[in-house]
Amino acid sequence: MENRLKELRAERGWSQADLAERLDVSRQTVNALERGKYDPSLPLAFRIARVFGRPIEAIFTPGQEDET
Amino acid sequence: MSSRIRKASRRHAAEMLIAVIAYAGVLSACLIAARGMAPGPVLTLLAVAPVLPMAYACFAFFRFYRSMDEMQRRVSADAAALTLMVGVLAAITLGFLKRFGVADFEDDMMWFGPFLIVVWRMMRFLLGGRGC
Repeated sequence: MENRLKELRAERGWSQADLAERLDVSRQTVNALERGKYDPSLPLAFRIARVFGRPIEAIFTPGQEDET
Repeated sequence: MSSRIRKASRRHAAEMLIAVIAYAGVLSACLIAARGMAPGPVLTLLAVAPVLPMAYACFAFFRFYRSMDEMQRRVSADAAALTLMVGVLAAITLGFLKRFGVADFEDDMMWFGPFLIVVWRMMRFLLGGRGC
């Protein structure tokens, strides 16, 4: 799965630690999410969408391997 | 790291320190008290008393596990699954070594638990990195 987390975070001028605080996760988890190393659960994806004020599908898109 | 997770990590570190100090103290006291004691209920109690601080450590760890975020929890669970495999293989290997008379590890089995903890921590580091 691909996501726009880094871009949306940068738009708001937040650090990874800032976003981690808002999402109630560790900074390492934010880093793994941004690098596409970890796909969030549905509840966390909804939290991310709420924090950025966007629908989930505007933040997460299926990667090439998800579509096959 | 969110302030909730940071707080849970600090509490976990403090509880683990207490558990280790208590374990060292209880173990030393029990070894001294059991010196020359004949087998019986008191000796049995002394023999199992060091398990109590370790049980406290297990309880503290489980509480910490519940406070982790979902990725940390997944990494910890994956590390536990791998540790189980290592533990089973190690137990079978030691069993065969004893069965074939190559070595007898019976006196050293109290180190098997700490060995598994070290393996789990290494697996966790390999799977999730330093901060996981």
